[in-house]
Amino acid sequence: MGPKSVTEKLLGILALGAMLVGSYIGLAVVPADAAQGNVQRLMYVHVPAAWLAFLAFFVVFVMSVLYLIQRDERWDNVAAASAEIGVVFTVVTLLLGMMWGKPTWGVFWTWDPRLTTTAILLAIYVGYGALRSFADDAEKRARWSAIVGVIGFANVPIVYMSVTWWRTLHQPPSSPRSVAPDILWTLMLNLAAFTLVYAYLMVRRIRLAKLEGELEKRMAYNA
Amino acid sequence: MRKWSVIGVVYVVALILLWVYTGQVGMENRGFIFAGYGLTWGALLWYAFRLESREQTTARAVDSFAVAGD
Repeated sequence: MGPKSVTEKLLGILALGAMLVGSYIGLAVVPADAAQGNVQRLMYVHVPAAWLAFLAFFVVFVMSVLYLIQRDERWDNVAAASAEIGVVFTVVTLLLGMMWGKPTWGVFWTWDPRLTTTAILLAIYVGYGALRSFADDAEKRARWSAIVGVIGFANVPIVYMSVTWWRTLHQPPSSPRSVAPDILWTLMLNLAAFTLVYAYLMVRRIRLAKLEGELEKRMAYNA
Repeated sequence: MRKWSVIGVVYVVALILLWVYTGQVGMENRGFIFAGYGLTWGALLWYAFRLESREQTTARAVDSFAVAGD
């Protein structure tokens, strides 16, 4: 196992600290929403999780394009790492949406355009992960998953725009002008905390991807 | 892995404190708020734990090939 650098440890501590502060402020400091009451506090984790899922899949897209151009396995490692973390954030987003949906809409799940397109997004990147585990040849695996990484990203703008394009239960995107300052800065703080968590997990997951690549090479050499 | 046992205990204690706090301030829908924050932290901690565990297992496997190759 590669040694953890001081930077990585600091990033981990910073991410943990920011998450603790963000959760504390979201739960206990910022006042409850005038319309929805306390259940709106779920927004401080639901929205950052969704944005980080989008960011993770955007990174998969960029790295996939780079891989297809340069055929460098480093880009494939980054794409694989980001896709896996994106899946974790998407699952968290969907489950948090269900926690928020039940008290506000009366149901945990409905086939609303935003929810449905997000579920499809999850299925695409779970499929991406499955594809990676099926392919034995490293070059083929990287090429096939890069193609899925590029095509699959097409669903991200559809998820984002679904609340504008179709009639939906889900609220439309908010702008800084339509949100109270207390709510806005708490949301931004949690967004920063989640971004730090993403960065930390990426460092860990990329190192694991390198180790897995090394193991694959040694197994092939010894076969 | 001892570190993760400690983290697991701290997580459970934090959940208990969150439940007590939301009860004391009379937060409506506290079950959903508790479940939401508990799930977020639980998922991220679980994933970080899985990464560390996978990394250790893979590193051991790489080392075993290095020994076998010597």
